Amino acid sequence: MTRIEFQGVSKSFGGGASRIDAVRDVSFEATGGETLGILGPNGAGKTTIIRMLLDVFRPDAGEIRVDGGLNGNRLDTFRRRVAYLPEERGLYQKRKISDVIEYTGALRGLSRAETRDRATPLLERFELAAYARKKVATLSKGMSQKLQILLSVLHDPDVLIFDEPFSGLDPVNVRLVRRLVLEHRERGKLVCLCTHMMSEVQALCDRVMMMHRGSRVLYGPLQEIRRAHTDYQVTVDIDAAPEGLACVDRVERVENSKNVYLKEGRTLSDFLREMAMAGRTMRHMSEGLRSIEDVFVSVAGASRVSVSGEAK
Amino acid sequence: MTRIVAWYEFLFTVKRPAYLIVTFGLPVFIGMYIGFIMLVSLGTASYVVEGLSTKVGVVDETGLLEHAKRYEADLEEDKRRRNEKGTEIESAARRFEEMFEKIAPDDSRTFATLDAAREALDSGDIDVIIHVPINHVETEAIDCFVRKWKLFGAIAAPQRVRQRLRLGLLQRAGLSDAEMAIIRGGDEDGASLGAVTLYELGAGDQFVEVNQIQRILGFAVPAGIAGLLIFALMLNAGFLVAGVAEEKENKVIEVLLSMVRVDQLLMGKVLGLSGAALLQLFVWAAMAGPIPLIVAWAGSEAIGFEWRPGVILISAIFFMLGFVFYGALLVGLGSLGNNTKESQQYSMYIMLPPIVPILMVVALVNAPNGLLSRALGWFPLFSAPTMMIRLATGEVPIWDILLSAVILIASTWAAVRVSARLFRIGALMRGQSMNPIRIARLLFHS
Repeated sequence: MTRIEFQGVSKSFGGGASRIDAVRDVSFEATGGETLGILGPNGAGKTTIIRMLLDVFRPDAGEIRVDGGLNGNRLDTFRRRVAYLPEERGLYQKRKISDVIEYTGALRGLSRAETRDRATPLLERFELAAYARKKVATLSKGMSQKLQILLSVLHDPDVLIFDEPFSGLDPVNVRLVRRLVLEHRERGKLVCLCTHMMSEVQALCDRVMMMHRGSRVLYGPLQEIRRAHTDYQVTVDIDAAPEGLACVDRVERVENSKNVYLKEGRTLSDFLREMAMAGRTMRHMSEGLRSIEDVFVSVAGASRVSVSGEAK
Repeated sequence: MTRIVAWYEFLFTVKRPAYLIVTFGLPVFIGMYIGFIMLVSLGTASYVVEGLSTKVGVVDETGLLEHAKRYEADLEEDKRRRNEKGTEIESAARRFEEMFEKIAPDDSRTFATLDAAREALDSGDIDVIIHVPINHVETEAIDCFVRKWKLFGAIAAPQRVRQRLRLGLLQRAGLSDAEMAIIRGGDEDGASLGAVTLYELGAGDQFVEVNQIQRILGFAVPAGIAGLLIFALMLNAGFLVAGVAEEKENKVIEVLLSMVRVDQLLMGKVLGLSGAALLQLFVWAAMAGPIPLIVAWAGSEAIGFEWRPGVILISAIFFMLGFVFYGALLVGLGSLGNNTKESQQYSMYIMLPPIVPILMVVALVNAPNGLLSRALGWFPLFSAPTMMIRLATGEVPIWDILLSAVILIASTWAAVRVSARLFRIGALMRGQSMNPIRIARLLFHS
């Protein structure tokens, strides 16, 4: 299975006063069979990370390894195994769809017959078969989007790098792409997903890396990050108010339930013990984790982000 | 509405840095080129550009030129009389100028015998001997002797002498019908190049007759290839730059760069377009070529035309090298533009240098191994067209050709590397204006 490692990678553009540090000392790894979400506000350095992985840019410092070897040395073979869908989509508008498919197949090292064999079921799946002889310019935005996704997976890649793959798609096609991502992950492929759609991140990603101003500010398994960034919250269906317990910070009433926020350092066990000691009963209880969207907003929205606060 | 759109289009365009750079930079650029050419021409013409100021020696066995020498005195006398008395006098010189053409000033040296003129030629006092044989009036023949034939070397000299011979005839009293026919004939047909028998020094220091048509054709074929390079570049550079700009505008370039290495993409574009340019030339040649080729081939025996496949082959190699060299630079620089218009404006800086050797063709042909010719041949921006012109003269030593080819190959390699860096940055850059300092910074820091 494919393994990608970034070790202390930095990249800057320009010099002197106009120097921009696009990526600063970023390390992460991802392995086949998982989906890595690369998150961050605009200008965080996500695209630069991807471009370095594809060797469009070379890092100023650090190492990028693919399957243990340095990226530059394995790039030609690595390119054949990668699918890339950039955020800014582009297609040759004046060419026929079949010609674009053929050209892409050739660039990916496929013969004409192989390209045809692989493209036919994909065209059917993406409901583009009827348009194959038409020009790209005749497609709607959503159809163009689907054609680009088709082109990216035409060669059955081992690594999928999708930058905002859901933008411009209707809910039906969002599902289509989601299924495509899950299928590839299940087949042991590595999927790198850059998106602002946090619901998709939460649904698809096993691991996330959040970037801010070129630095990695969060990195780790999705659930661990959510847990680490949750003010300990318990939702209880309770008759008596839990106020007055030593471990409780504050209580908010939500319809028939109460959200109980625990003081820093206090755990669910502390809460349960104090409830029992106070002789209070409850009919239902659930542990609340912050959504990844909340984590994203709080980290990205913070005016000063400290790397020391990251979850490992 | 159209007026408003036009006004804002105008404003947006004139505010574009690329527009300003080309508008103000290009004249400076062209001025520098012309200044350079003039400096070189003025400063070094005497020893670099042989033949541009031809020193003529004349051996006139007919005595007609002595008659002609009176024309200046006649013209002066005309002028004096007109001023003093307002009366007209019709001198032969004035009549000649009114009937035919303005008489060019005479700066030739007269020699009594061919041997005396030969001595002056050998010592370098003169560059060409014009010999008017005693039977000139009957045959109209003029012989022209030079040390070495040059395409633009001695065209004017026989013409000037022939003009004076006609004037001399007119000056002489009692003209026969045949003599009047010569005077008039010059006006109708001009003094054709073919009417002059040209000799150059050959083996054993003996003069041998030069077949000028053969020499001119021998020059024209390789020189034509140089012209085609410029023409093909002019025509196809637009496609090349527009293609890159379109991919950048369409944002296809990023996907392409994920599939292909930047240098592969760049070379692929250049070579693909080189192929298209060659195909274009081939089609043109196929459509128009048979006629001159058949004529040249059929007539080659009669005119003694000598095919020089080696020169044509080397010229073709320089054509390809030149196309790839200029093409690589065009793609690199073209990728910096924000749209097709800007990219094409940047490409002008690459399109100008190959024109310079064409502007200096006289100097290159007359002194193919002079300092200027060699310098242009070794400088990669001018190399390909310069070498094709120099090769056409058939006088360039093999080491010189090899050196130029090696420099051009190395420069092409460097151009591909530099352009790949520019392309890598430029292709993904949006909305940023470029100037030479910024380009240098990008190259240095990328």
